[in-house]
Amino acid sequence: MRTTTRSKLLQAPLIAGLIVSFVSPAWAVTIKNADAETRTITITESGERTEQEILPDETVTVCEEGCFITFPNGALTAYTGTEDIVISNGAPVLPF
Amino acid sequence: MTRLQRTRAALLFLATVLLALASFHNGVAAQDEMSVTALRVSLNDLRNAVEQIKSDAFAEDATDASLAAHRAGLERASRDVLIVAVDASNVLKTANQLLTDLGAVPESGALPESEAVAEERQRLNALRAEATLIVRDAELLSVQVTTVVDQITSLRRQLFVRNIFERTPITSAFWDEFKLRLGKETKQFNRLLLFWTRSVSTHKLDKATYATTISLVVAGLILAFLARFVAPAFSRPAVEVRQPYLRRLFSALWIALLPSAAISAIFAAVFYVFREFSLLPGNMEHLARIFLSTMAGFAFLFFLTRAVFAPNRHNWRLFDISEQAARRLSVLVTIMSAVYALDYFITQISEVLASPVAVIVGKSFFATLLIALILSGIMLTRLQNDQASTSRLSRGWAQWFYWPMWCVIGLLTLGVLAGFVSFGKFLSSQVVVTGAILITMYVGILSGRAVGRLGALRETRLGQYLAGPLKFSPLAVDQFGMLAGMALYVAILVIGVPIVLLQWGFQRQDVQSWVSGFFSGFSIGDIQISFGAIALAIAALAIGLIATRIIQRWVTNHILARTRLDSGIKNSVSAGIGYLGTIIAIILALEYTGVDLSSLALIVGALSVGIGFGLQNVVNNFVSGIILLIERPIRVGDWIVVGDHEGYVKKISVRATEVETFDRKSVIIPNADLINTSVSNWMLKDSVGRLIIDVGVSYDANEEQVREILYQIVESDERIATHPEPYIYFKDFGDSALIFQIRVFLRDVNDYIRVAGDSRFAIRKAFREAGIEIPFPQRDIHMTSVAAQADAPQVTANRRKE
Repeated sequence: MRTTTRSKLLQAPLIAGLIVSFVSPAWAVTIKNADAETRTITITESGERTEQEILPDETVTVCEEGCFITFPNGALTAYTGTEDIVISNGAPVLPF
Repeated sequence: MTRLQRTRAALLFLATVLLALASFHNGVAAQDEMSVTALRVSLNDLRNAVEQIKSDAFAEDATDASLAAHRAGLERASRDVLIVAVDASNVLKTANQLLTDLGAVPESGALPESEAVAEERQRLNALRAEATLIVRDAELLSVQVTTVVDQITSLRRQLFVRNIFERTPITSAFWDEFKLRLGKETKQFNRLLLFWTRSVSTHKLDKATYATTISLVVAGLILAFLARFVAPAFSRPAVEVRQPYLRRLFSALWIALLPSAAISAIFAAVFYVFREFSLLPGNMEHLARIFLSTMAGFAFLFFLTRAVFAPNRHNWRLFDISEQAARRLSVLVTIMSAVYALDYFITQISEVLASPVAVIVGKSFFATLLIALILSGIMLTRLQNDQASTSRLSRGWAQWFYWPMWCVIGLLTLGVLAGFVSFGKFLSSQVVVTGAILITMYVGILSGRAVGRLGALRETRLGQYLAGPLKFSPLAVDQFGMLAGMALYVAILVIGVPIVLLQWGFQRQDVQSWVSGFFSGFSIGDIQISFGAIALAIAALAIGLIATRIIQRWVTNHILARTRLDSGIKNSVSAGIGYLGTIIAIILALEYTGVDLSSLALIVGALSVGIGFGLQNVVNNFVSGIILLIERPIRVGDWIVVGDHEGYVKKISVRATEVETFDRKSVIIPNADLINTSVSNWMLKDSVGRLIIDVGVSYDANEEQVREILYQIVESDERIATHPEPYIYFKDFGDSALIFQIRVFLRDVNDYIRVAGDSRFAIRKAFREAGIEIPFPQRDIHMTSVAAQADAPQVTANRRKE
């Protein structure tokens, strides 16, 4: 009986590790385009600007460590990297 | 209360709430303006800091270390800029929200809005403009910071190459200058020392005495601790037999690490004490630091050499080399370490004294050549005694190092002779220091592998301790060995790799930023992976499980043991604590990884399909197990009957329940069976059970006497309950006997067999004494014969005739 509890003790962290490595941590900003047309956003992450197109109804995951995002309507907002954003009429809507 | 009153009260309440909300709103508004100003100030501060770093970094005298520090500063600034920007974004969001709440500006023809609303609108617009500006500026600054970081990185690369490949022509003019400068520098150094000793001895003698005493006491304590508790376990006594591999490895590892750690601790203490007593003014502090750290480094090399080559202790040696070779190698390596340490120390002093390049280069010139010479000596060492084979390092696996090593020696010598002294120095330092660290790591990794080998740990003292006083089973000892081996690997990599990197000219800040990067993770596609987070999660889980086990044990031993609860409830409580703790530990672990628990839905979805197909039974049993623990139709220790199985419940686990039958056979019954089928439990409410014994007595016996005797017997037995009363039941007029039944209730049904047996003994004895017979089965047989019947009328007839 002692042995079985010990091997359970061994198994538990291994299994948890497996689960953890499969479920990827959600350190990122997700952006969903709720508009009917393709939207282009500009992302400034670690001081580098990149443009990203989002198709209608597409959801993209960007910037893990916080970033600045310029939206189609010209709004510029900073994110810590944990937000879920919806673009509606070219403007960001942050569900609270 | 009338309806009117109630309405008025409600209105009053509503008004109060509205008022409170309005005042809160105003407070928030004022706060927004303040925070925007504060954000602007911190952003400006950050910009100034970045500008400052920029001008410092691109100054003439920037060194690699200062550049690395600047880089780290910039990375910090970049994070702060983002924080400011996020705060400003939040203000922006609030302002936008409030503006939307105010509604659109009334059109020119419509009723103009009130002055207060117009004012508020103006204020919010200003706030929004300012916040937007801050976010925009922050973005620009973050881009700027990255540019500077990139520039610094390329600058450091150039600096490194320039430093390494700096050439000083070794000419006679150079040597003339070297001699001249060396003399001056020696004098300067002597003067510094002399001045220090004189000032200490004249002005700070008492302080110096205190400091020396304290240092001696600390050193004594550390050494005494080492000698008393540590050394006996890891010393290498002269033994007759070759020691087991694992033992040799461990003793090598400890001998390499422990004494040098102790010496480092002593030096650190001495340094701290002398500095606190302000006995190390000006340059002396720096000199003392250099001296002590060099000595500590040399101590490490010295002990490592002894650990690996084990001169005079051939039964402890790691490699199979002759005594002679071991001695020669350890002497050579020690001399090489000494040369290296001395060179390092003198170079550092020269830097403190701001000596000219000629002195530094000249001294390193000799030191490096000397190291090259000693290295050649090491390479030429004959490892075995037998003359026939040329078993030098050029044989076996060592040959992979053999020729590259000669290349290094050649490069070293030629480079230095050609004037590339920095390069030679860099190479020799790689050979000595990096070599030492790598050897230590290698011994550690070998130990880890050896510990993890099946059955290896059982033979060591630690394994015997685990199996002895701690009562680990052999399998548990092996598992412990495996874990220890893995832990050793991790420790070696975590400690060793950064040290090697530092040695390769990376700065502390670089290593720090890599480590933090490692912990914050990297991404492959959309998947974020972070070893640090996973390690933390596993650690959290392990700690959680251990804590659960401790709490469980404590509750069981200290709280439940003092209650009058039966063992079943105690078991349920303890199991419940176990499950709860495990679940909390898992959730905690998931939290540590930053896992979005909603993404677990995916896994749950996948699992539900699995449950539908294959895991149905397992889940059914699991849920049944939980119901068993809550509803408790059976408990541990109960005497139950399930289907064909009858016995005591031994253990209720998650999936199945263990029942031990009376012939000591363990039956594992799935929990679902215990819930779904009918279970007889003798002991659910109480342990009372009924016992029935049939007794047959002869028709000759007096039934009243029999009843009396039976009553006496059952009443004299303590185990038979007096309430409900025992009853003697005259059951039947049997074929051969009068059938009586003893119907009694037992206080504890577990006594069933014993009471039944004892009672029968007693009945038999009492009947024998009273002369009451227990009859065999009896039959009255009436015989009728055919012949006799036939004869009988004839006889009568004959008689009539007569």
